[in-house]
Amino acid sequence: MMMDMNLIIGGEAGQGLNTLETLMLPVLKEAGFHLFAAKDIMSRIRGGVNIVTIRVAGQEKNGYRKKSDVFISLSNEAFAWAENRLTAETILIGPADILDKRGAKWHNNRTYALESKPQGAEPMPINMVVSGLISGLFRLDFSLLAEKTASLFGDKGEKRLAANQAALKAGYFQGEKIDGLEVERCLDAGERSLMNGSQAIALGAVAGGCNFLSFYPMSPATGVAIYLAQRAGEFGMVVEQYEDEIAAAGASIGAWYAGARAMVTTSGGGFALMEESISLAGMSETPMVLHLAQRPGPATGLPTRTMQGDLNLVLHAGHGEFPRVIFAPGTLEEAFHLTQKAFNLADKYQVPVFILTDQFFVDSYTCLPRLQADGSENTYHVVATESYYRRYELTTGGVSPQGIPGHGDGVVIANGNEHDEYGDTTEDEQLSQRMPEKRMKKMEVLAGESLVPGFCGHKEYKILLICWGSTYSTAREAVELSSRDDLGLLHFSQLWPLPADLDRYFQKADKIVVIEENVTGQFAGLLQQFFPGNYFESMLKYNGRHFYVEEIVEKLEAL
Amino acid sequence: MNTFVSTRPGSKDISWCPGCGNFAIRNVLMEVLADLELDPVDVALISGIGQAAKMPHYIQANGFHTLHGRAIPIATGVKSANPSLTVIAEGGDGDMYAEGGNHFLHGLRRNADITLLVHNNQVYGLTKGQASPTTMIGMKTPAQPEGVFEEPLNPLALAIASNASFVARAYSGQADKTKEILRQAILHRGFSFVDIFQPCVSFNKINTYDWYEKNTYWLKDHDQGNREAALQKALEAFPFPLGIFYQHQKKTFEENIVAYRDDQTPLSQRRVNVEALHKYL
Repeated sequence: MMMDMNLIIGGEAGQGLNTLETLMLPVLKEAGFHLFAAKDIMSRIRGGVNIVTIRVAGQEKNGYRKKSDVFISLSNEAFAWAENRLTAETILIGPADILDKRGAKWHNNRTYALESKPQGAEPMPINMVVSGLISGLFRLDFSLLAEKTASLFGDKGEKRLAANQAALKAGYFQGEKIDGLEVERCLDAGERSLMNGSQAIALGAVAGGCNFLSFYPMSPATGVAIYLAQRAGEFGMVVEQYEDEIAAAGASIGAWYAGARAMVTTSGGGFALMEESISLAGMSETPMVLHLAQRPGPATGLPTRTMQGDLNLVLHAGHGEFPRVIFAPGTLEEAFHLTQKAFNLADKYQVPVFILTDQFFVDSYTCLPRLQADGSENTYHVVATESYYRRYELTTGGVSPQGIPGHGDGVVIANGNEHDEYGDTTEDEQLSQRMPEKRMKKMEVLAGESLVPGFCGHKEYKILLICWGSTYSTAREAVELSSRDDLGLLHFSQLWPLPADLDRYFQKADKIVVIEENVTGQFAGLLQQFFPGNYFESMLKYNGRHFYVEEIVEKLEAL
Repeated sequence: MNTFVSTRPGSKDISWCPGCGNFAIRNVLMEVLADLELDPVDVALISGIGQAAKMPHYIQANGFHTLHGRAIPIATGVKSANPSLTVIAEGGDGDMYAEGGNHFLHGLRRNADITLLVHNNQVYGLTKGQASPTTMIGMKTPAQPEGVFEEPLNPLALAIASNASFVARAYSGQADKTKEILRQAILHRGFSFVDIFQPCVSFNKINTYDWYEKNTYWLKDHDQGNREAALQKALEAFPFPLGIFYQHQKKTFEENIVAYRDDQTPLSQRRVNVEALHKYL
C-alpha cells in the first residue's frame, strides 16, 4: 500500500475541473484520506490549460510535489503542459486519441484509455467520468460519491443528476480495473476539516470579530470576499463591493473609525491603489487589517499565478513613516490564528496589520485538525469618551484610548493632517515633533510582541535555510527528504517587526540560504539590512509557479 | 438646545479668507444641526481635503478630516458601521468632482443615508487658484494661462441622470434658503446631495457675489418628483436655477445590508457569532 499518491489532472477551462475538485476533495476527505490540492490555472474562462494537483496521503503531507503518480489528461495541451512532471512510473489516463498522439515517448508506461463517449449515446460529462474514475482507483464506497453528488448538484434537476450519476458509474467502473494505487487511510475524517487558504483567512477574520468587509474583485484575493459575502447574514457582517480599491480601503477606515472591525482583501495592483488610505490609517491612527494575496507583477503580470514579490511593497506601503505589522502564515492553522490576532493587534495599537499570502496559498486545499476559537481570545479596546475627549492624547506608550462617535460624551476628531491632541490640524513646532514620536513609540512595543520564527530540522545544523509564508510545507518536506544531515529550517510567519534575538540562529550557521519566490530576494535583503554581520544567500523561483519539493531537494544537495 | 460651536483650541484660528463663503455655510450648518435637535456626539462630519474640507475643525461634532477625494466612501463606511449616526460628507468642487469623481458617481448609486455638501466655488482654493471641474470655459488661471477649455462638469445633471434620491443646489450668499435646503437634505432618508455655490474671494474674480446674484434664480412651481423636469432644470444655465431639483424615496444602502435585516446593533457592539463560526470550522 502506498503512503501517498500525487494525482495530476489536466484539462482546459470549461471542462469542469473546478467542479471535479468541489466534489472529489470532500469525498476523498470523508473516505479517510489526508489531502493537499493545488491549482495551476490560466487567466481565461474557456480553453487554455488548467492543472489540478491532488495529493492523497495516509498522513499529513502538504508539500507541493512535482512527480506525478497518476496523470489524467483531458486535452493535448494539458498533456504537453505537464509532461515535465511525468516519470517512467507515472500511470497515464486520458481519452485514447490524446494518449495515441502523445504516447510515443511514454509507450512503456501503464496507460489507460478513458471512455466517455459511448457509441450511439450522448457524450458524458467528462469531469464526472473522471470523478468516478478517481473514486474507483481508490476503491471508495460508491454510495459516498453518489450522496455527495446529490447534495452538491441536486438542484440542477433530475435529468442532470441522472446523467451525472451514470457518468460517475462509468468512470468508477474504469477506475476499479486499475490496480496498485491503494493509499493508506488515516480514518479520522470527522476530526478534520477541509478548507483552502481563502477560507482560513475568512474564518480567522470572523473569529477575530471582523464585521465589515469591503473589496474590489481581484484574483487571487476575491475568494475571501466571496466566502464572506455568501455568509454575511450568518456572520452579521457588512460586505460591500466598492467601485475601486481606493473606496474599499476608505470605507474600511471609516468603519473602524465608527467602531467596526473591518478588513479589506486585495492583490498587488489593488493594494497599490490602497496605499494612500494606508498612509491615512498611519497618520490618523485608525486600525486596519489588509489581506494581500500576491501574484506576479509588475502591472497585471500573471493574474492567476503565484509569487512572493510584494513584501517590499507592504513593508514600505504608504507615504510617510508609521508603525505596521506584517504576518505571512505558512499553514492554514496559522492563517486562521494570525488573521484573528491581526484584529486584536490592530485594535489595541491602532495600526495597519497586513496578512501576506499568495495565489498558491489561498487556492490550495488541505485537511487540518478542527480549528478552535470562541471569541474569548479577543480583546476590545474602544472606550466611552468624556467631554473634551482628546483622540490623540500623548501617553507614555504612544497609544491613546480609542473613542468612537456616539459612544460617550465627547466628540472624536480624527485627522490625516498633523494634529494636536484633540485631533485638530496644527503646525506647532513642538507637536510636529512629539506626534510622530508618539506614533513610532508603538513600534517598540510591537517589536517586543513579535512572533519567534518556527524551527525544524537538525539542531546541530551547518546550513540554515530560511523561508516565509506559503513556502513552509514544501521547504519543510524538502529538508525531511534531503540526504543531508546538516540542515536547519527557520520559518517566519511574522515579517515585520522582526524579533531582535535572531542572531543566535544565524551565528550557528556556516551558510544561510533564504528560500523565496521573487526575483530579488526581498526577505534576504531585509535580513541583510538588520543583521549585517551575516551573509544571506538566496534560493529563488519566480516564474509564477510554486517551488516543487523535488526542486528544493535538488538544490539542497548542491549546496 | 445643543450647541455645535466648538471651544477646542484648534477651532479658534480659522484659516479661511475674510469674506469666504465657507463662513456662511458653516453658520448655516451649525444652525440646522441645532434646529434639528441633534446631539454633537451623534453627528459625524467626514471631509476630504481643501479649504471647505477643514470644516470639522470649526464645528463641535465628530469629525474625520481624511484624504483628497475620499470623503464619500469613508463616510459610507462610518454610516454602515453605525446607522444611527447623522453622517455628512463635505468638501469642495475639486475634492468631490475631480479627485473624488468616481466615488461621487458610485455614492449616488449606493444611496447610503448620508448628506453630501459640496462647496462649489468653481476654483481651487487651497492650492491657489487652478481650474476645477466646474470652472467656466475661458477663465485664465496660473495653471491654465490660455484659459480653461474643458467643458464644465454638470454635477446636478449627473446626479439626476443617476437617479440620485435627493439633488439640490444652494447659494452661500442666501443663508435662509440654503438653510432650508440643508435641513431637508439632512432629514431626507437616502443619499442627499447639495451643490452649494460659493464665491472664492481670493482666486475667482469671475464668479463673485455679484455674479451669483445676477446668474442664479430660485426654482418656483417645480415638481421635485419629476425626474425629466428636474433634468431639464439641471441643464439650464445663465441663469442657473437654485433649489431642490429632484427627490424621491428608495431603499438605502443600510436597508439593503443583510447584516441589519434582523439586527440593528451597530457593529461596534457586535461580537463573534460563535455558533455560525463553529458551523464552518
